[in-house]
Amino acid sequence: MVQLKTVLSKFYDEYQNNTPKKLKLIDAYLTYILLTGILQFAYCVLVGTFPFNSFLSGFISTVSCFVLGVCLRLQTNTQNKSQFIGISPERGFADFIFAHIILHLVVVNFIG
Amino acid sequence: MTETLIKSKNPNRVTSHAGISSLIVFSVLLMCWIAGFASRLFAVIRFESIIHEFDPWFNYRATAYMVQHGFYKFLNWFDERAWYPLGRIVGGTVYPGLMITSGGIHWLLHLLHIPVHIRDICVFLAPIFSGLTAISTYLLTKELWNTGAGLFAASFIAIVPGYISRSVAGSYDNEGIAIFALQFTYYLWVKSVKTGSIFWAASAALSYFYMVSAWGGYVFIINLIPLHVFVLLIMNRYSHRLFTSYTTFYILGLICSMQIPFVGFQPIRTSEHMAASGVFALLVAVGALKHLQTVLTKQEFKRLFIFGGLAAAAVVFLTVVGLTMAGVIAPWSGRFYSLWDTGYAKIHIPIIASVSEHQPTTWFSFFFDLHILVCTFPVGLWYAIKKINDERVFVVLYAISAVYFAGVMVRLMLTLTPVVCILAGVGFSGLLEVFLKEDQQPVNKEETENEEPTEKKLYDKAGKIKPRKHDSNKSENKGLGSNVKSMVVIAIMMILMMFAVHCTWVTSNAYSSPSIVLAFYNQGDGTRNILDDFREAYYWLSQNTNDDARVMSWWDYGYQIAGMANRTTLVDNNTWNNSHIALVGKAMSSPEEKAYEIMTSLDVDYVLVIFGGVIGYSGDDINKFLWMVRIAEGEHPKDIRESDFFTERGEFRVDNEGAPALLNCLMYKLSYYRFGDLKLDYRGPAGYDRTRNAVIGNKDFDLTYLEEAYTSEHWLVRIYRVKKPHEFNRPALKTDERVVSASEYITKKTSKRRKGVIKNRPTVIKGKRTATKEKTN
Amino acid sequence: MKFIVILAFVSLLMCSANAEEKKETLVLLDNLATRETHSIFFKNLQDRDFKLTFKLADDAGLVLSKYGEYLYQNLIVFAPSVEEFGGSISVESITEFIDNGGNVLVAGSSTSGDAIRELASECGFEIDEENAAVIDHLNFDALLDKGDHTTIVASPKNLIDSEIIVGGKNIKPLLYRGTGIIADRENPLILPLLTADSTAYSYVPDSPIKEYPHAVGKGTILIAALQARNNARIVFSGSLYFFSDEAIMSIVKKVNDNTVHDQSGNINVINSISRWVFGENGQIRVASVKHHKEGEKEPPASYTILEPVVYTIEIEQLIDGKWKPFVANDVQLEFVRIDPFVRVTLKSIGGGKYQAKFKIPDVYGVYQFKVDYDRVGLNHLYSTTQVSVRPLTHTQYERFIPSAYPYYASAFSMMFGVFVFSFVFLYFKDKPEKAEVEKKTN
Repeated sequence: MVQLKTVLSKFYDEYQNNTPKKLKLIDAYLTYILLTGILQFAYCVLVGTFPFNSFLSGFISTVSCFVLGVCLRLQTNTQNKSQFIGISPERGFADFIFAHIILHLVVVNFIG
Repeated sequence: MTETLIKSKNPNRVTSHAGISSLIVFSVLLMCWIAGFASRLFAVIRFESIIHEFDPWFNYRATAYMVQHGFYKFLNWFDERAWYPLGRIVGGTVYPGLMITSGGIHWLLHLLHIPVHIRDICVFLAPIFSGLTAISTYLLTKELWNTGAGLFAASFIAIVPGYISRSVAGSYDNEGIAIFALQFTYYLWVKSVKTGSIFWAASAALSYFYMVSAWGGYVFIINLIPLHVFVLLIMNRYSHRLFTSYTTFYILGLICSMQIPFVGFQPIRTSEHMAASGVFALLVAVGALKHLQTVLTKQEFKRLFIFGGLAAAAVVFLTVVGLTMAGVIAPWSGRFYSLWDTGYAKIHIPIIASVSEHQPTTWFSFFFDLHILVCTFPVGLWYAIKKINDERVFVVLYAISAVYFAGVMVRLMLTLTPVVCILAGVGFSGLLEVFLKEDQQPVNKEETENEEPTEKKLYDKAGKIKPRKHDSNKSENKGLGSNVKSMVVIAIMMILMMFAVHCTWVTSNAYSSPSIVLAFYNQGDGTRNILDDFREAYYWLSQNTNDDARVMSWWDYGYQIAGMANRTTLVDNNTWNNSHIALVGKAMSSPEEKAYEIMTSLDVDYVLVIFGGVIGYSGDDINKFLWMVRIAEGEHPKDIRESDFFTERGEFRVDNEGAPALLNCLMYKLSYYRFGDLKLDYRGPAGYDRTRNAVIGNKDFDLTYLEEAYTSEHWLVRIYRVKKPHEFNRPALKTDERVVSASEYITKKTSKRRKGVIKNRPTVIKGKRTATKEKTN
Repeated sequence: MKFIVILAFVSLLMCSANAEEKKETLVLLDNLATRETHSIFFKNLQDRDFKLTFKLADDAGLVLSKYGEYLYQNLIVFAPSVEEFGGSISVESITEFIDNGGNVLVAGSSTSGDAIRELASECGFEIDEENAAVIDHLNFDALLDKGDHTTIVASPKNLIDSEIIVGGKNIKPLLYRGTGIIADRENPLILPLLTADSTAYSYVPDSPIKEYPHAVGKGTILIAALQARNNARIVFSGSLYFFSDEAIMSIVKKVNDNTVHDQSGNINVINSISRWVFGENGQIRVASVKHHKEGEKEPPASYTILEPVVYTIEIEQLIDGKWKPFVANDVQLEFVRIDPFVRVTLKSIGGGKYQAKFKIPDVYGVYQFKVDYDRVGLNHLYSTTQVSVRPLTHTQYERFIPSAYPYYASAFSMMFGVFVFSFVFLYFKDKPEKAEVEKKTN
């Protein structure tokens, strides 16, 4: 337990100190999405999945926003530069927007 | 075609000029396209621009409907002419990609004021898409290996019979465009794994969406890609690129695929799709752990990682199993089971097994469809395994799974063909690279070593793959003289030429028959005759029957009747309702009386049977009959038993030793009605069935409840009218049922003496009088 | 010739259109004297606008049809002893006539010939053996019988329960002399119009009974009818005498019964039967069928599942040569797709119109509105109307369901989030780099 606590505190410190602001911004965004997703899921568990397509599109839209956010985070993270050759942060962001456009078009179509 | 092949090796020779090499690439691809297109035109040239076979007729009909009524009407199309009286919601039970594609082309051409009939677009769609397939195969192979291999693969796929079989002109079917979508999706996927770009992954998802809209085979993609990811994870090749590409692809592909009405909620409800979501969850878990690892870089986390990964996998697995048990997720469908157990379909779902293309593949057909490629593709596979990297893992998995599935079902040969082409391309390119290179440049170890990396960069855009070493080649090459090399090169050329010849031959002989128009060659002078019985009969139906007449036939002909004769059918090639098909099967395999009950309950007006006994056409209804019996038995085991239709020795025969149930069933009677009187040639006996080489067993019978309405020229199609109940006006008493025995009165009337007879009446005087009357008459 | 065909066609059309048109009837006799002995019957027919053509049954010039058109609508065969018809008439041509909708009245006697027998069995009856007659030792006529007890007095109670065919049962007793008819029990179309009493049997009189008689008691049918599936009507009487003037006019006195009737009831039955058999009575038809969605007037191209539908059928009956509204309370409607999904009794809304309102089931497919009204004496009324019932189109599903609003909210919040995020992200773009640069410089 104590070990875990130290690990967590260490994690927190590391995060506070070593993370660029840009990533923190993304993290804030991700937290927001995560909360929306959890709320939605809780609502679904309580109320039932009746308009199933609406639930799916709502839930999948949060999941995919989250996933895309994570991807963006990975790509903008300077530590991962070596893995993403040829993808500048600008390119990454453009891709991110591209994927979002597809996603939201489909979601609106599907939500009912 | 041989020219194409020779050219494709040129890039190896001319490597110094990028411009020339891209020109060559361009021209080779163009020629692939043209060659591929041209070799698919045999059917059009021999016969005419016509839709082939069965399913294409439905696709064509649906496309024509869409072009005429618009997309939304098509989406909501309720076809009351199919599956009478159930009807069919076409919009919700069809993969609309094909119709949308050709409808889109039609719209575009009309926008440009090029008036093309929709039928011509449908006929030529598959050949045109074969060119696109060649290009996407080129791109995929280029990503996996290099340009040379890509060009080889492109030229192979353009003419390989395994693919031509599904994409000749007129074969307007889902597979025609789906293989393009398949290859293109794979290309984009490989590209996205290589770069880790969201853009490529999203494009792959879009392409996947197109694939989903086009063909049920999309399940192959949605299982193969997760498998690839999973294997990469096991091989400890996790990278953020993989994470980015898979998660993006999966989540976008998931929601896109649910937009197709036919697919609906299946992607989250059925087991076939569960592997993908499982891998998604696993990948997210692994990604999270990896992230922790990078943040904390500690020894414990390695253990934590392994433990966490396993736990996540277990949780996902248990959830899936639990949900399946609870009934939330549908268990695997029957068609899917039949992929694992080839005997499954035969026992449980005769309707699937009854389709010839669902039979296991024979060795012969592997060679027939792929020819030399089947021998060379293991070479490519070996190359790929030897120089493994992330993408090549994919192609290896693709090859292995496709080989398995192709072995199970003839139809899935189609998914094997592209990967065989890719790997054979790799194999050939590898071989030629070795031999031609040495030929060009004097053996100089240092030079080759220096040159190689620069050359490699030209092909390999990604560039970070470690260039292959030619260690093994070098050691071999030492012992090879230039003569040997040139002989090997010539041998390879010969093989390729033979391949091209084989492809052309197979295409022209085996795959270019529209099957609604048959051709046969006279034995004597070898002239070609055309049997147009099908269209003749369908045209008769369309002209001589009521617009709402209901035609019963075996399901194979449902689409054709609907498409060509425009009449209501009971069952068709969209075999969605097994019990309805079984009912038709039961009617066909019952005696006339019982069949009549079924037919009146289904309001049948006409019955259509295909009979090949006169011309020796083997695909007729009697030969399919056992499947009808089996399918009927599946639903009505009390009334129909397969064993009744065999002789005591277990034979299925139509001659006088045949089983009584067979000789009296409706199908037999309809096929052989009046056939017993027909003498095909002067020496042979009457009623000799050429297909089954037997004199039929039941010759003299009459039809009570049906009457012959039409028989086509070669008796290939026979149409019968079902009599209405009011035509059996008065149930007359037959002579043997009477209580009072009837006297056998012999008529005294003749053509001259037309007077009747009255009992107990003097006729002496009257006789004279009538005689004079006769004269005056 | 063409002219004649057209004329025939026109006349046929007129016949069917206007019931008051002279009804062409061919009467075949085996003896021209029958014309006199049965004059009351024929007179009655003629009074009812039947145009009778009398011919001998063995006449060499007999024809039923010319150029494919029938010259007659009705056929009366009062020629029991005919062995073979003359001219182009034969048993086959008569059955063909029936199959094309012609009505036939046949009378036999105990000396029935082969032609009559054949004709009978074509219609599902049999006439008892040659010389056999219906004998009833308890119910014969005391005055007319010649001692072999074959002139029997049939009670009107033995008439079939159908006023439409035989008229009222409250009539005087019936005189009958002739052979018995045996009906095929499995034939559902046969109607025994008049049966003998339980004491009767059919056998050759004056000969010792060696075999069990073919027809005994109530199983002995005296007059039988058949309404074929095409609504052609055939009546077979075992007795020609039944229609004769003598039988109609004589005084009836049953043996062992002191009541004397001044006249038999034959005339009532004969008139009713002849009205029925020649289609003057018991004819109903569908005048119109309408169906539409509730609140609309015209039938839609196709119905959608769960829609309320209104079905109206108008039925008419032929009364005294005019089509008038038909009255009944037992007409049922079925909504069928192989099996009936809905079965309702139609409500009469006056004027011969019957209506039903129901909700279309939640199953799509091709359905039929089916009215199948089959009652003894009336012709078979069968009306089917095919409609297709389609599922909801993609625009007909319920939208904006309240319980889905949170999902809408979240989906739109995601879009909004991306929008805001991208602004902030782009705005922030330089700062972190600067910060990093600062860090590095630090």
